[in-house]
Amino acid sequence: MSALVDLIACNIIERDSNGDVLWTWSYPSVTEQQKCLVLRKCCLDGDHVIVQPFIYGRSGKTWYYISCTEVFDSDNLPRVKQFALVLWSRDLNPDKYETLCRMLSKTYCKTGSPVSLLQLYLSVVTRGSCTTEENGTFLVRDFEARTNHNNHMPNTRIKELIKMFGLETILIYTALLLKKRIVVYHHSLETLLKWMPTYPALMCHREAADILYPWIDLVSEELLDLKSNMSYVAGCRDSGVGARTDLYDVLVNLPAREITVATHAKESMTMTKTHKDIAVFMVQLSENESLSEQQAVREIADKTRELLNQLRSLATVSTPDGKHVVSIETLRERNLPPALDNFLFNLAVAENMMML
Amino acid sequence: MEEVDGIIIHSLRQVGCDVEDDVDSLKQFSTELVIEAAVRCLDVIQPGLGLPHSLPDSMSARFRVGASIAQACKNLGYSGDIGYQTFLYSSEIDIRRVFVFLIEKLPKESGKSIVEPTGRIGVLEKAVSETVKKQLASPWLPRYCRRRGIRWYDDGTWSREGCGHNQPFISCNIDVPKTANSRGLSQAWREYYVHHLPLVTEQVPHIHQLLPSLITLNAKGLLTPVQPVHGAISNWDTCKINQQLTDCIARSFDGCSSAPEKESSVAALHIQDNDKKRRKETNSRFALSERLQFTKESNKDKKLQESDEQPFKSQVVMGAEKKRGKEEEMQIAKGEMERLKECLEALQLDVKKLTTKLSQITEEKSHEIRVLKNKEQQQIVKKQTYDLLPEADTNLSALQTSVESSAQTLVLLAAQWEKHRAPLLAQYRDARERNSNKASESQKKVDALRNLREKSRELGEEVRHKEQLHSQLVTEYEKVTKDINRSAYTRRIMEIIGNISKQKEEIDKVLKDTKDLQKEINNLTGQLDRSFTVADELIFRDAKRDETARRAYKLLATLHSDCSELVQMVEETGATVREIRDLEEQIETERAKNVGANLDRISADLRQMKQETAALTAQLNAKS
Repeated sequence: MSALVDLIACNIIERDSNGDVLWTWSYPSVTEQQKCLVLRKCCLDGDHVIVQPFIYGRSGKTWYYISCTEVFDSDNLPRVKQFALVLWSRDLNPDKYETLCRMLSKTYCKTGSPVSLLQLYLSVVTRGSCTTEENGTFLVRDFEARTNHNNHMPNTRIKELIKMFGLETILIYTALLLKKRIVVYHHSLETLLKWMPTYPALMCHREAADILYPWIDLVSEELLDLKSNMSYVAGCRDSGVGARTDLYDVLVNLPAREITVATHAKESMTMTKTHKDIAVFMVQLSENESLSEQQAVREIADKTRELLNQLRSLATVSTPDGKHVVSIETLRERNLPPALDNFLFNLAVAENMMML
Repeated sequence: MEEVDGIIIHSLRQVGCDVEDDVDSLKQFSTELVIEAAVRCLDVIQPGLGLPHSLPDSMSARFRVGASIAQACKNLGYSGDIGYQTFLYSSEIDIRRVFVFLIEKLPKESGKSIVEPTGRIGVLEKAVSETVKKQLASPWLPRYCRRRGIRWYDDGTWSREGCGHNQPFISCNIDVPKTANSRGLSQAWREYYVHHLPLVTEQVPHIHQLLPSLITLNAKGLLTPVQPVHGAISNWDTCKINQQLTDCIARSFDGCSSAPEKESSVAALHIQDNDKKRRKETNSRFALSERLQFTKESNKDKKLQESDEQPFKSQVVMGAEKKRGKEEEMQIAKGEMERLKECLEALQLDVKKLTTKLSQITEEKSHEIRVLKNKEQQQIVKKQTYDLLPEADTNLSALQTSVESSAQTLVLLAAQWEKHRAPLLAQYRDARERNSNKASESQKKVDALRNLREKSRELGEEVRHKEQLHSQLVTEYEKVTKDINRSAYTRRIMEIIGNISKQKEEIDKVLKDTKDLQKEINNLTGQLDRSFTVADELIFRDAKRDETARRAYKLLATLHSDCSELVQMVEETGATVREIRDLEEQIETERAKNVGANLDRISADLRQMKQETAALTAQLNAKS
């Protein structure tokens, strides 16, 4: 019975027959800024024809999960056309929260009163599980098992990604490896959110929750939030992001299937022979039909580990803390070609193995 | 036909004809009146024909006038038979046709007013167009009929045609007194101008060259002030050139440091050297070549070679010594440059290191802060746990119960809040609904109001438009003269149209009847033939045996032939009747032509003409 202490808050936003979008209920409380953000993201206003069933995003260090539901006449909510249930949490686990959201939404639909909602919510927080008559039981345990695998989420599509971009996938890989800023663009939110988990999965040894920003708009608050990080993988639905070269080092345009490297990042993204090898290896992986998604991910992780081991072999100097770091002189001694030299330098910096 | 005559007479009166009031049909027109009317019409249509308004006495003159009028009418485009006889020995139908034609050709009273061109250009253009029209209308004359290309016209004007009279443009220098600044003219010059300088007309060898020479002299006078003054450069010009040169030198030095090539730098130094010496001798060509040398980096060497030649040509002696000194300076500059480069690289490397260090450290710092926060929180929880640890079980159950109870309280609170919240929300939603309903109603009213306003505006516009039209038409109606009874004419025209359509109907009916009759006749003849053949056969068969049958057969034959004779007679009668009708019509038309009287008059006139010619020949014979 592990409690789900990561849950922070729960809110309901309704859209009624008059066309108003109202913030109807929240527990315990949320700030004005968060309210604005969620209202903007919940897509309940009349502009959006299709109601996105489940969206999630990040604000600072907290994650919000929004699930929109259509209200039918059979439900107990008069004069409400649609409503969105928002859950705020500290961890990134879309599946878990999607299930929870769905359950809570159904209960709310049926009873029409947030009190029952609150009961379920509290039971999840305190006991780690909740039961409803129709929708079964929700157990936090079910979702924990999966999260232990290096914190990478399921539903990755690495093979498809490599197939889509071919040898250019190495650009994404390098950018992730060197802790650069990546912006992914797709005009459809659903597709974007489906693709976002794939990117951090390329770097299994890093935390996905640290760098992933599934959905940002070009609004000043969100951009400030984004810029406070040194490296991130952000998804954007606005095509104007292509003009904002200050926001990214690498831009991945999914519908057009092209990867653009910003001019100020070009020198750090120069390709070497190592890169070519890895690129070819990834393409071969994607073409191999017998490999499953998990296996592909693991293979790439192995390759990355190889590369890092190579780097560690250069880490001859040891600091007072006992860490092994690479010094510039060691790099210079090897007399490597300048591109590779640059790459190893940057990689060491990214992995905190550089002595400066 | 009275209306047509009335219209004709009215129009003739408007033209200026003196038609008496009791004349109201063309039958009453006398020959003089006819001539006068025709001539006046032609005057209005084509002014400048110069035809007399009244018939002259002599027969031949009359004949000529009639012919010219007929010719004029033919020129206007009258299709039909017209000649002198139409006017001198007129018949009603013919003159009616002629007058209708002429009146149609009369220009409309409300015709376009010709805007007389004012202003010099307009008048000039008009004169040019008239001259060209006249020239185009006149026939071509061969070269020898024109003296020096000049050709005279009937009205006393002349024009130049052809190129045979042209002279070549040869000019020669002529002297005219310069009156620009008369103060500068000395007495001697003035003397010369007044007494000795020949006239311009005498300065040219041939009179044809006078005009070209004057033109060239004037052209020269116009152009001279524009040309820049070559030659001596004044003081301030030199300073400007110096400034330009120093700029060029500075640029050349920069160019040297970025691309150290011995020859070019040496050459640049050469130029610098030479410029100091040759300030006074600079001319635009040199400065231009210098500028070219420094702006086009790609052609640098080429241009340098060019300019190289220039200074070299004049500075051969001093070159070698200066060269060595400059080489040494070059080496020093090179060393400096290398050192600076190394410094720059080192600095760049430092910058790179420091930036990465900065980013690393900021990341570490944020990481550490996060870790610290986490640890603090954990510490608090752990502390509380430790406090509760001694009596773990009871505390655990107590915690659980407290958690449960707090959860329950929260649920209760939520329920209470719900009790408040739901009605408020419902109230809000009701109010919004009512508001939106009202809004939609008011919107509908606003729309209806706008529609009504639009409609009223449109109607107002229409009314205004119609009123304007009405006033316009009223004024027009008042302007139009009331002596012509237009309504009578229009009524008559409508009546005629009605009549014609009725007649057409009747004609169609008659035609149809005729066709039916003809068909019936055909049918009957056919029937008759068939019945006769049948009867004939039948009786003939019997006639071989029976006597009565034979007689019947003979009677049948006679009956048939008699009847066919009758039918033929009827047809002939009909044809004859038709002929009679046609002939009667022809008689009518001939009678209207009034041939007899005209013939008498013609013969009388012919006799008169013969007398006149005889008199004239007698006169001629008497003279000679």
